[in-house]
Amino acid sequence: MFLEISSLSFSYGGPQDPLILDNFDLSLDRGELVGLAGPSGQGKSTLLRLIAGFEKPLRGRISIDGLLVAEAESRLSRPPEKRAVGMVFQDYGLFPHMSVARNIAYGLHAFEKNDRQKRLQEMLDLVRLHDLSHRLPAELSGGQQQRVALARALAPAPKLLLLDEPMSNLDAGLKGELRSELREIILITRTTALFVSHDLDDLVAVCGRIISL
Amino acid sequence: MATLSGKRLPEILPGGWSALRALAALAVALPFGHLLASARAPGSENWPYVRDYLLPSYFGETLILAAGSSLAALGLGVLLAWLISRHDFWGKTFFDRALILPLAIPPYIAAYAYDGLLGYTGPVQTFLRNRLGLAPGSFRIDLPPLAWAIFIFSITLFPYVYLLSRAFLIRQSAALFENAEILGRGEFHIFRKIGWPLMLPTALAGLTLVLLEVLNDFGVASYFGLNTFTTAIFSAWFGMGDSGTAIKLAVILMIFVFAVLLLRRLWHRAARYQIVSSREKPFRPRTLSGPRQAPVILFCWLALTVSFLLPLAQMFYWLSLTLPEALNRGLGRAAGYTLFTALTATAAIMLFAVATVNANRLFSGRLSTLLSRLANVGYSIPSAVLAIGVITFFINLDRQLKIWRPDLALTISMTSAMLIFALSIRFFTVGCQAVEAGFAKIGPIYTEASRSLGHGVTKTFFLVDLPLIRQAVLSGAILVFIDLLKELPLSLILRPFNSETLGSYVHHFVNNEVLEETAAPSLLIILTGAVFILLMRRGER
Repeated sequence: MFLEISSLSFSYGGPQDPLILDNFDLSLDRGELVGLAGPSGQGKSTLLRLIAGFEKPLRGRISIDGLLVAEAESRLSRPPEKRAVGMVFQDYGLFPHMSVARNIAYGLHAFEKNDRQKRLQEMLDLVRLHDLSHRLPAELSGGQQQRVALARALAPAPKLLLLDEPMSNLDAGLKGELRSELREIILITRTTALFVSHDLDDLVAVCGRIISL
Repeated sequence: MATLSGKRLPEILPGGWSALRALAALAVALPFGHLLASARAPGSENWPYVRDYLLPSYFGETLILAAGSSLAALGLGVLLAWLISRHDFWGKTFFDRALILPLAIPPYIAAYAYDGLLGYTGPVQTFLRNRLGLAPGSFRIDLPPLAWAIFIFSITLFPYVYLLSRAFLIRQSAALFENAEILGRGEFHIFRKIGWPLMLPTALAGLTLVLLEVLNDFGVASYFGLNTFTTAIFSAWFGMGDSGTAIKLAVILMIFVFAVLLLRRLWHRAARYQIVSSREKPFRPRTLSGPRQAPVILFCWLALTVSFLLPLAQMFYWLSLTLPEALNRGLGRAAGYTLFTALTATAAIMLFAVATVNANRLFSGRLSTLLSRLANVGYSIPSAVLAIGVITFFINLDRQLKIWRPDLALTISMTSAMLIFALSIRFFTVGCQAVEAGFAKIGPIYTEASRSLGHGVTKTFFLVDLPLIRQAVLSGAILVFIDLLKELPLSLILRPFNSETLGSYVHHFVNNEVLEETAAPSLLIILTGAVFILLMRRGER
């Protein structure tokens, strides 16, 4: 299994507080695009934060591509920057003081200097934002911001891509086009991805398999 | 404070963040720990007399002064905040900016200015005698010194309450007040039954700041000859040369301040409301037109005149009497030394504030809370207490140093290090609050995005966090710098021999009873502070 989550439990306080996740298991194969459905407050975003390393599990373990990244029992937790996990946030989190190009190139520090520009161009091609590469995020539409966020997360070629409700800030009219675009981009890059949404239509349009939390 | 990663991340940080935070907490803890340890020593021969006969009056006058000043500042600040937030009237924007300018006037300078303004040789009495032909002494305001001190503190410190209350009110939902209006309630009723209960916790936070400033004061109390704890500590240390008594008084005052802060904390918890509304419409002021706006405009003018314009005018009047001699080398040296100490302390404060707040937001837990509270205790502690803690700590440090290097005597305590260290502890909280506000505004998302893209905590800080909180750090630095410009008690006790800050330079002229000579250094403090306050407000917009 590429992503393996076993017996995962989590609460925001301590063991005495209500559990957001209780004994949760999940497996993803390499290259799979899986949707995670469920109503608000069920812990979908929390699960992504646990996989990304922003939270530590109360119980259970998470491994990515055979590497154990978190295990509650042994208190192991690799920091987010060392998990090779890309994330598209609900509000995108585009750095407001950086242009589109600088946002996308931000995670390319591990690349050779000569390869960085090439990779940036590839990403701009992929999301068709060449003309807007010098703009600041505030000067973009919601759909364009989403594409920048996706390109930025994919640029460092993460092992796993996490998408946390990336459609929730978009108009209904815009969604249809962006859903197929999103699916296409993720499939082109052959990235394993876990897509969280409360909207089942989003998941049906984008994902190959849907599981419910 | 926003916690970035929940409560379960490890508290040991990568890089030097945790070390800087621990260093800040240690720097604060050492002098206070030393002070508490010293207080256990048996008292001097003066102590039983001070304890039995003087202590009750120290408590009494300190309590009356603190309660009177903070209540008066609370009333003035809340009233102005309500008038300006709830109404649109001619000159509102001007008053909104101008009414924070009294923060640029240290209370001790306002005290000297008012004494000069209303004294026998001042412009008011001179005008009445020479122009109106009134008999000498026929116009006198005979207020007890305690009432004068309360007046001075309320006109110089009310902006703390005003700023917080106004910020709270403009964030409120229009529905709260519109509902009351629809139900047929008048302005006074809405203030009394809705506005006041809601803004009470915020106003109390402002009141606490006023209270701490009053307890910290030395200049006003000593000028009016009041027997407060601070003046008592000064007279025990300098007048009687009795460090033991000064230390004991300092510890009692410290406990008193902690008790006040604890009470405020309990009260704050009890009086806090959670406002429930699904959709918040922004608060919209009511327009006052024609003669209906006259009383509001008049009141705002009166507040601005009494709190800022009159003291400023008096200082300019004195300056005109003392020019050009006032612009001498002494003033230049004091300004230069103030600039040196203020800039050094500001840099140290902002460095440690950014490190401490960043460490706290990244990792929360019991240790974080403890270190954060410890590092922020300096602002609660009156300067006289802090000064004694620092001085006894540094002298002890010098003694230890002498054991290793007998040729060195009082090496550290004769330098500016002691003053800069104490100033940094005292105003550390001011810097921290500004940085916290900056981080709260941007939230955790950019930091998390950066880390998910492979950058560590430190690199994320320099590439993402710092550029985004730059304005907040700058505002914090300006606030700290203004406070340092105005500072008096620490400068008086801890400045090295033959060095003067602007504050101590002003005090030197007051001691020599040449009040008009205070004009040049006072105006330098006031005008620099006013310019920085206006710049900061502009930056925030």
